[in-house]
Amino acid sequence: MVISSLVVETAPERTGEVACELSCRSGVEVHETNGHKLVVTVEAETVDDSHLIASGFISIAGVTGVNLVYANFEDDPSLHPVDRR
Amino acid sequence: MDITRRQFVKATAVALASAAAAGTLSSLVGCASGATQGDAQTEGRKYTAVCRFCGCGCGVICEVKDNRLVSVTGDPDNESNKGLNCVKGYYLAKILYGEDRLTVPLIRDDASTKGTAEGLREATWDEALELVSAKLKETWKADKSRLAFWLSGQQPITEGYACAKFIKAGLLSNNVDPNARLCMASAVVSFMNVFQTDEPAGSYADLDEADVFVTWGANMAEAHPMLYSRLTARKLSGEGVRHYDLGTITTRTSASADKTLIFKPNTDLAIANCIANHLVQNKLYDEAFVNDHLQFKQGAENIGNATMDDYEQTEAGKTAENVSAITFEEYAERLSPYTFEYVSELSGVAVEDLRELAEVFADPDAKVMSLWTMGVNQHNRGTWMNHNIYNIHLLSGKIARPGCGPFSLTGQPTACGTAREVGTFCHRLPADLLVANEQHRRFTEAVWDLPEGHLDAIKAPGMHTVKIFREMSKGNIDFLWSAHNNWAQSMPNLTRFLGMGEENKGIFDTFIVVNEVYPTLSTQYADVVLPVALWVEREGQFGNAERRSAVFEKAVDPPGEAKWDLWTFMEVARRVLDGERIGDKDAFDHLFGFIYDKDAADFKGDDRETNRALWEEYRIFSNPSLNERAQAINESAKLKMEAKQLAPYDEYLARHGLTWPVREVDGTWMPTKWRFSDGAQEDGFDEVGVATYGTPGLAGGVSFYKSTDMKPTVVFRPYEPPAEEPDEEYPFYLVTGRLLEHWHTGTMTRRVPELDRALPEALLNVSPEDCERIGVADGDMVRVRSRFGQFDIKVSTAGRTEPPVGIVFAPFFAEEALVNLAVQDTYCPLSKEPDYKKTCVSIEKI
Repeated sequence: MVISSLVVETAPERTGEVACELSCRSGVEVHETNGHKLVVTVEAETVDDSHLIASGFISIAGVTGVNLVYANFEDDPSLHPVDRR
Repeated sequence: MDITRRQFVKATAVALASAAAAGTLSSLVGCASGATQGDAQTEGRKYTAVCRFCGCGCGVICEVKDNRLVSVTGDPDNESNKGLNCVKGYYLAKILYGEDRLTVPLIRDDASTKGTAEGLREATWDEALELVSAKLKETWKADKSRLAFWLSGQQPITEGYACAKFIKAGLLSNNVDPNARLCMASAVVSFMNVFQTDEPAGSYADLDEADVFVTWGANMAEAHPMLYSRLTARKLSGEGVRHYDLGTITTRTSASADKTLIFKPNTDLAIANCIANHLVQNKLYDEAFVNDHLQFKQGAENIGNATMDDYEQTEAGKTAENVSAITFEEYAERLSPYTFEYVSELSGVAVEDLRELAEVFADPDAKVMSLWTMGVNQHNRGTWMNHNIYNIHLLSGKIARPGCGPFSLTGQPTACGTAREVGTFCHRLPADLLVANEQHRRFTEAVWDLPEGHLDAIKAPGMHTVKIFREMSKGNIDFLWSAHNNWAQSMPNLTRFLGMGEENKGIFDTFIVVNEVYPTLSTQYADVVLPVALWVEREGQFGNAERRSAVFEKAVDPPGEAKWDLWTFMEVARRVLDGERIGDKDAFDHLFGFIYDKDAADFKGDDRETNRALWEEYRIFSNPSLNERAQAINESAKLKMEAKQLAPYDEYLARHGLTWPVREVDGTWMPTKWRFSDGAQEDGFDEVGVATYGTPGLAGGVSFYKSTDMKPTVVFRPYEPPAEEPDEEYPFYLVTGRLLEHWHTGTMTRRVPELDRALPEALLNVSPEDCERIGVADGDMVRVRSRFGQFDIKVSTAGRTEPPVGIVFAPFFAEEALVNLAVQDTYCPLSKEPDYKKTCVSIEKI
């Protein structure tokens, strides 16, 4: 499972509705609101899946910015094992 | 991941994002530098790094467990991004783990297989290095004008520095140029012409304070997302903050601008002159600023176009750089034809929009920030257009003050730090110094401890990028070594340079060495491929667009037999310079003995010690007091080398990056956010520089102490048309560019499946009106032809850009739709940077 967190910026008057929309999406949790910013986590099987979810945020009406803060991918089964000396 | 670990990771994720939203992330992330923090069972080792995708230079913290990257966090202590990354940062780790990483050296025995995915066999390092060294030495000894190196704005600072030293002082060759020639050269030449020093006066901090943003030919929303995020944040937080977007096509950046001004190609030159004319004719310029700070010039005009190989031998080519002094009144006279009405007719922009934009610069209280990238730089008059933007900021005094300034954005993570600052251009030495300037050569000899006159052998500039590839295509280059770039996709006029036409087959006879991390189009033309470390697989440094130098630490080992690029250059250097002397000393040891043991075939210290030693030598260029001989030349020739002062290496590790000039004040190294601006150093102003070299108390509180007579130059540059204009045979302008998911040629981002899935193929954006006119629809395959070549691509009317009638857009990330096959290699006569934005093409359904 890949766990990542983001700060989603919104138009000030639409923060609430953006939070509602995000909360409805699979693997997405809205943890808190700070002014027009939302603290969001995404949990998904792979980084690819996480990105697919997170990259969709920008098309939500009222979202003005999507900022990745943290991404943990230690359990991503799709990452290619590389022999390192 | 067990339940405890998962809970811990999720709690960490929430806490970090919460702190980022509140602006207190720094207290949570803390210092990295390889130390484990907290419980080693739950948390890996952390390392400071810098994102390697674009020119923003965002800081990240890498977490490593068992020699594998397991997480990335935005670095709150890096002032460039303050803990926030864009979507490309999401995938930083994944680029290390693509299935087809190159892990062993490869050799091509049969040159007839060039241009295919076949023909490369595995080899040992010894065999590959011996072959490369033998070919280089053979060419060097026979005719060194036939060797060339093509380096990069993605090459870390110390690596670029060492390469420049090897090539310039060791091989005594100037045939080295970086791929930054393709993106930043127009900005560089203009900076040098106007200010006599490279890189912006302001910093990213201006984004947080400007009242008005003007983007010129820059799709920041896609090409510089973190900086665009700061711009939009400022619009939300500031009252009445406005954004004007100027370009030849509508982009995602236009979508959020308050007003978009779409102009006809090249008329940006006229629009800037129109603004200047409005300021001057109506006495709306900053008179005190003009009187205190500016000098005026005009330059050669009607300079033609550098389309043909012999352009530089023509009269226009030989005189293109000429300038002569004029008075302010003469400058005003030159501007006078650029009325709103004339420029509106020329550009297609409404008079009222031009007037509104001009009034922005006329408002003495408005803090205005201009931002630009490739639309301005990749322009047959790119240097001129850079000049014209400076002109309006200088006339209005809107420069070098918080929230105010012309800011040239960069396209690669260290185009500034490496290509521009350490001198991997064919005409440069480190720290803005020029090979053609005798005092600059003497100073460089002092720092490198070379006999006086040693560098006189390289006083003539070498071949710039387009010339290198033109000469190669004609069979005049015997040896080419490239690193950190993918020239077989990013160069223009690939039909010629890849030998796809009936003539110009030189590429098949040139011995080509490519340092790479993945197979690319360039490796398909390589005789030897050297597999190298990627990003945090070794330690390095990037220097971004705001003059911030930052270190990325080594976090994991390279895969397989891949090696640090610098090691490959040292191994070849020791072989090629074997038996050579500098003065009475062994040449290799004299140049690199302080970091490299040639008998052991390895560095004397680890990554950290090697980088620190190189940095400390490089730092002498901007701290001449560290070297008695250099200091004497700095003083006698009034070089003012401290203008770009760098701090000791360990300061960058401790501080997560610093913007130069960095000044030591009471034992603390302090960065500078606003060059030439007087004020407290601790607040980011250039207190030490102004006090040392400048004149306090002048208009605007600034002193341009590096400029000749301390006065930057306003150079009148007229409107001149594109190199070619649409006609019956080629009725469209083709504009090329980048999109968010893929960077440049897609070498790394296209290994990320999701990024590739999000934007799997390059599409030709065509306006619905043009589609109807030429009888094509969404999804149709078309053949795009120019005077230079052709490519096939799918049409889209709903793409990421919205071109107006007569203009089409295609990105260049996809090697299967190799758009550069058809792009002109005509370059700006001053900067030698190609114009990728205005090739005339025909479009035919296939």
